[in-house]
Amino acid sequence: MARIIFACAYDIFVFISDRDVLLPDSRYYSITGQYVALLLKGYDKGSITTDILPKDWHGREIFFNALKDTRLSGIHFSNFFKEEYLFFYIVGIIYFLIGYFPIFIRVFNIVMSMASVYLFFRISRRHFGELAANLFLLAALLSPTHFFYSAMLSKDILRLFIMTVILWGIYG
Amino acid sequence: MMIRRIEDIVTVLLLSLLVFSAGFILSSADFWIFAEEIKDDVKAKITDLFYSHLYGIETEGRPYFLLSEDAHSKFLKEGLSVGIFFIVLMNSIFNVLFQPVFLSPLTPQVLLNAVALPFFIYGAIRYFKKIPIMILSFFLLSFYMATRGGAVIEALIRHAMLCELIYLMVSSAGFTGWITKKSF
Repeated sequence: MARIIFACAYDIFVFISDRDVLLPDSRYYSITGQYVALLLKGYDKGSITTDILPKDWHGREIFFNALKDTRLSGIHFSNFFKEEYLFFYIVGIIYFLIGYFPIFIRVFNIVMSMASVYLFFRISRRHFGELAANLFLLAALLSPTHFFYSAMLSKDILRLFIMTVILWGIYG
Repeated sequence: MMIRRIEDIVTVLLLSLLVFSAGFILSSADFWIFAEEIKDDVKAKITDLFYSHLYGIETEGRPYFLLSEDAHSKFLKEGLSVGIFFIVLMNSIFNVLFQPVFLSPLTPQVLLNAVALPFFIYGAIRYFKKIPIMILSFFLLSFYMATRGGAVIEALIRHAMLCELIYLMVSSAGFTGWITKKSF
C-alpha cells in the first residue's frame, strides 16, 4: 500500500513537473508503449496524425525513433524474447486496455516486485525455515531499491520477475 | 505407478544419451578442432570485457571506490592474469552490493549489506548444497553485469535487484543458521 501511495504521489509530481527525476528512461518506455498501443488500435505508420504525437520535441523524437524501428512495425513473436520489446508490448497492452495512464504501469511493476519477493519468501521458508524467511521478507520489503524502483516505469522489474519465476521453478 | 515407470525410463534414456554424447565429444578430435577454432574469438571477447570493466572503473568509478592506480595499465601491458581476474571479480561483486542508491556510500542499504556480508559468506558455504544454482547465479550475474556494460553503470543497483534478493535471502539464512546452530 505504501508503494502504491508513493507511486501515485510520484506520478502526480512527474505529470506536473514533466520530469522523471528518479528514472529518466521512463519516458522512453512510456512513449514507445504509446506507439505500440496505437498499433494495437489498428493505426499504421501512415495513419498517425500530428495531434496524436507528444507535444514536446523530446517526446516526438522518441516517437519517431519508434516509428523507424523495424522491429516495432507490428507484434512479432521473436520480440517476446527480448526484454526491452517485451516491456514495450506490456506497456502498449496496458495503454490499449486502460488508456494512457502511466500510473497503471507503476502498479503493474509494484505487483511484479511484490510477487518476486513473495516467491523468494516461499523458497526461503521451504529451505531455511520460518525465522529466516520472515527476516528476509522484512529486509526485502523495506529495501529502498525495491521500494523506489518498483514504482518506476522500468523493465528491470520484469527481468527480476522472470528470473525469480525460473529460480522458484527450480527451488520452490 | 505406470506414469512413474515411464518417467524413470525416460530419465534413464536421457541420461544415457547425455553420457554417450559427453563421452564422444570429449574423446573425439572434433571437439578439440572446434575449441581451437573458437579459441581466439573467445579470448578476444573476454579481453574486451575485462578491458571495458577496468576502463570503466578507472574513468567512472574513481571518485567512489578505492582502487589501485595501475590495474588498468598493467592489464594493457601484461594482458589477462590471475590477479587481474581476481580484481575484476571482486570489483563486480562489491560494486553490486555496496553501490549506493544515492550518491553517498553511507546509505542504510549499504550499511545493511556490509553488516550482512559475514552472514552471507557463512550462509553461502553452509547452504551451498541446498541452493547451488542460486548462489552461483549471484556471483556469475554480478560478474557478467560488471564486465559487460561497465563497472559502475551496469552494476547500478536497479540492474542487480535479483542479486540483492539472493544476497538478502542467503544472509538471513546464514544469520539464523548461525544464531540457532540448526541444520535444515
